[in-house]
Amino acid sequence: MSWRFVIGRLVGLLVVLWALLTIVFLLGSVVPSDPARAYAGAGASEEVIEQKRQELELDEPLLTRYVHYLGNVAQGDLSTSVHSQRPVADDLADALPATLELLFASLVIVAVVGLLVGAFTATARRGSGVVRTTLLAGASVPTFTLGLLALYLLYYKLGWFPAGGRSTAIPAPVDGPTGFLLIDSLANGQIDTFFDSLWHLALPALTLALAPALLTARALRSSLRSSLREDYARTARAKGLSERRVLWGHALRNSLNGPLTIFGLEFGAMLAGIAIVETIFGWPGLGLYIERSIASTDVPAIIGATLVIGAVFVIANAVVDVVQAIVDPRLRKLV
Amino acid sequence: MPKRLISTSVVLVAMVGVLGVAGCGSSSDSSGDTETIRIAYADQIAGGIDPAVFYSIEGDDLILGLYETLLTYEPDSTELAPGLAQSWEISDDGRTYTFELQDDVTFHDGTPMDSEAVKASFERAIAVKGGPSYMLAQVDRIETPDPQTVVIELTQPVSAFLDYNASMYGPKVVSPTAVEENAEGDDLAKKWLSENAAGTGPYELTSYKPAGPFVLERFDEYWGEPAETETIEYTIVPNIGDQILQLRSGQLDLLTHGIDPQQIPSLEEDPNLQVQQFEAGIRPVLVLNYANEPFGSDPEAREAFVADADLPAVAEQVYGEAAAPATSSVPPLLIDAEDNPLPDPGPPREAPTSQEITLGYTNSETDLRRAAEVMQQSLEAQGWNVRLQADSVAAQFGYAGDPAKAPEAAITTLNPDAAHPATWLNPIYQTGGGLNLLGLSDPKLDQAIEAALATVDEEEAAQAYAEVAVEAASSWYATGIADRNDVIAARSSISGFSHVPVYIWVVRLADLVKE
Repeated sequence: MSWRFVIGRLVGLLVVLWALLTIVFLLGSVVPSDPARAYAGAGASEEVIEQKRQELELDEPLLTRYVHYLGNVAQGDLSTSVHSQRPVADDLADALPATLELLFASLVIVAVVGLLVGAFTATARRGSGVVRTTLLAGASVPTFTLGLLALYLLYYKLGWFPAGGRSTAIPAPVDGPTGFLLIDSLANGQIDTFFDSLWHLALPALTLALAPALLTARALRSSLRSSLREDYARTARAKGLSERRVLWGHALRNSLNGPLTIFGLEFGAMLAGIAIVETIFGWPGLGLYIERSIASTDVPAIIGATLVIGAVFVIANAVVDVVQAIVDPRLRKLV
Repeated sequence: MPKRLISTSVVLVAMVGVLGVAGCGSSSDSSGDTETIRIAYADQIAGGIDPAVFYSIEGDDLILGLYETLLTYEPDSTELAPGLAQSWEISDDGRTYTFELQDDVTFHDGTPMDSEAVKASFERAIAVKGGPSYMLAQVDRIETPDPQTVVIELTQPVSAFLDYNASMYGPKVVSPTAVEENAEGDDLAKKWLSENAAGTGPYELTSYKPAGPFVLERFDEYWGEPAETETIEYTIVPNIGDQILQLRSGQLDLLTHGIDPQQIPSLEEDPNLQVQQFEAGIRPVLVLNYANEPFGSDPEAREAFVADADLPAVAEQVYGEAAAPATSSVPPLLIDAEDNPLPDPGPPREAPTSQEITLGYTNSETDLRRAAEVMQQSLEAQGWNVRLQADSVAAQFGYAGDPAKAPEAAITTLNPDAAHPATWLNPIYQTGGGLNLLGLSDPKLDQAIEAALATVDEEEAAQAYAEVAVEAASSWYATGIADRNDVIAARSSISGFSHVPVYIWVVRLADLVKE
């Protein structure tokens, strides 16, 4: 991996973020809402509303506001949320750890389930056809349906999992240093809290991960089946290696490129689905923040959250590129 | 490596299963804990909990548990009652209000509550210029002749001033010590008070995160009757369907709002639940745009639209028994319906125009979507060409910025800030009023509203407002659809519901009991 790759990715990240910011800023400026009125409240006098309008620079031309906004964003000032009336950066800092924790848990599930199910169905074992059909059905279920079903069955009917939130105790018994409850509870030696957090994390993470995991598994299955028909696999079998050794020792690494590409794309879908999952499970992360911001036409919050989501997506795809290069030496020259 | 991977994966999958089973044992069902009541909010408290800034509905009950106003209302009535002031007097010219404060009141931080604290709180609320500050706009000066007496002089008589001081958004008394100690620069402790509290209410705040949850604990030094329940916990559950699931399973104890009228029968059938309905000043309203055509210049088009929309049928179909069809211009809590009846728009008639009419409705309220759909059907049967448009509350506020570009008609839910007609007529009908969304500007009506507000004699003021209400209704600018009840669902184990009709989505926390 070269510096050119890192610099190229960073420049790409900045371009993507600038484009996102500009598009959302322009969209926000044509939305027929009046942020000054929304800040001031329904009964506020014209004087108060006018004062708010000046504070928010809404009386300035669009270009002036855009330039000011770019300057402020460069300094980490993402403006103030109309809804919470707090700095958007503070809101995002509060929400981001919950979302990253959920995303990370989902990624682990995607990787493990994708790998296991893909490898299992690639071989002509008994039951692999059933699993394959289940894959197709599972991947077809929309995230919101899955979430509501999970909530109804596993929470309401069976009582196996909690309905939502990040912990049973209100508020969560640990507060910092990272904002990741799993890490913080371990860092504070609170094993009960760790398992309680894991228990709360399970349903939303499974809901978010299931479809991407099954799609990744399908891609891996197809890729593995192709690899297992290659000459080197035949040679390995001729040398007396077991089918399992051929699969795990030889074919798997050569089959990971396609699934990794799918994995990268699916990560985007997961980011899109996070608003639905967090809303269903009352998970206090970025997705819920975006859902609220859109519902209340909170343009500064929408722009801020879009930037963060965009950054996460670009960074995640850069990581996928690096992993692909590690897995497939032919790609290293490109990286 | 592969074996290790498989075994790790199996362990991970097994852990999820074990978590589920183990979780059953540590269920978060709160029904056994009689000292904690769990309430759901659908959203965080917009703008935080500084009482000088707070001007939303989500959060009312929490704020009223933490802070108090000088006056309040008797339960289930619009009768004024003592709050932090035990008595009050009004001068003959209606400009001077003298409040005698309750004895031995302390703030949650231990500071004694006295007239200086009231003065400082009111002056802070005026300086902060939050949404509710309009209630103090006519305050000229505040005197504190002794620690128990506050004298407020107004620049002009304000017939609604006592009600402003009993409003759920009315000026709250905040600990001056907390303000002084936590002010940053000249921010008057706005930042600190947005996430902390220092009031005199029956509960004190023990945990607050802007995105939830919030925890209140009983304030043992409370000057009045102590709260029945020790702890009130608020969790954010965005979806009403999820809230109901959690209520049914016992994880939540109380839902104060968001229940669709169609969900009431199934909730009532559940033996573990109860549904309470209270008369309230919540009213969905049809507003017609005065800043564009066809309604801006054609009173007959306005009248025909209201007649063809068949508002009583909308009320019946959408709200059923959870509301009464509106029969008055102003909600009957504020003026007797007989004194300001809605004019009769006449029978349905053919649409006078083929112009497309955009009918906006608030996107977050499912009842308004249904109301818009029912209305669309009725209107199209008479030849109107109606297009529906879902808008956020912020977007609906935005109509006022440039009403000429706003929808030709809109439905939105409104509620008065207090039990006084000024809190309905002034913001909706006055030029530039905060809820005057679609461009009504009638200097004659403005003058009449101002005159009514400045009328000193109580009966004369009531008469003046009734006349204004009749005049306002005849414009067909804002026509009430229904007077909705506050619908509250709770576990059967909860009792002690105390409700004030103009405190929307609020039951008095201190009276709630869990058995």
